[in-house]
Amino acid sequence: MKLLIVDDSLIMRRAIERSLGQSRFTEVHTATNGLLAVEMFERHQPDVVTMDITMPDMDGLAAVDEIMKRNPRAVILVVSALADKATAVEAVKRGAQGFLLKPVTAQSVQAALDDILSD
Amino acid sequence: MSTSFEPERELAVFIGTIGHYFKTVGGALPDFLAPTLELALPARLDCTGYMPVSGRLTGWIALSLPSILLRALLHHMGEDRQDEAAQLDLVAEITSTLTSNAREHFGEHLRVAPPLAAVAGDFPDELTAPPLSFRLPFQWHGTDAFLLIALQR
Repeated sequence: MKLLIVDDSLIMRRAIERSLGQSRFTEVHTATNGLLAVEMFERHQPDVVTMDITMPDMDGLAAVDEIMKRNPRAVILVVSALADKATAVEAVKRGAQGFLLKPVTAQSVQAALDDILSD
Repeated sequence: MSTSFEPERELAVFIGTIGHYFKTVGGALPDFLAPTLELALPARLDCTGYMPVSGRLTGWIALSLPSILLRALLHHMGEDRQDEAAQLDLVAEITSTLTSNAREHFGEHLRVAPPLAAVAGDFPDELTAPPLSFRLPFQWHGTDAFLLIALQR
């Protein structure tokens, strides 16, 4: 399976990648903003995308829109620190299947990915 | 939900978000010290993350941490990269996380932008120093750090 990790923080991208351990993902790609995320999505067609929201150039919610236009069956887990119900509802309304609140741990990332892939 | 800065209430919110972050990511709660009102921009520690805020409240929120604390956090996260770039990246990410977590309490009118980071005395050109700010000092594993809240209506 292929995973695309989208976050403007290098440390967060690496933390999410480390949390995968010996997981089902054989190919992991990364992007640092929404614009690059859309480009990487088109190029690699990942099975799952983890998407930060607050990013420069194009934020995560706009990137979810663009990705869903390209593939309405895309599987997207929003990973954000925006702790208000409206943000989570907005992400799901735009097509994200899951919402994981930062700060994250390896266990919370694994559990959220397991959950989203079991649906 | 508040529409103006209410120091006691909002400091309590940030005590909660800082505590939650350090407990979750670093495994231990920090010890909070008495907050102070600052009439000038206080000297910052090795790395500082700045989170621009707009909406009904404008200004910024900054988290200032020493290198030793950032390296300890990176180590605890299992991160072997601990150079200055990694430290600046982490302090920006923590500041963004704390501020965004606080939006649950401030309300959706609190709009956040991508964070900025700077070393020691540097101050981002994109921001302006406020007339006053609230400084919330804390210690994590005995190491001093502080949050600076510079918001106005």
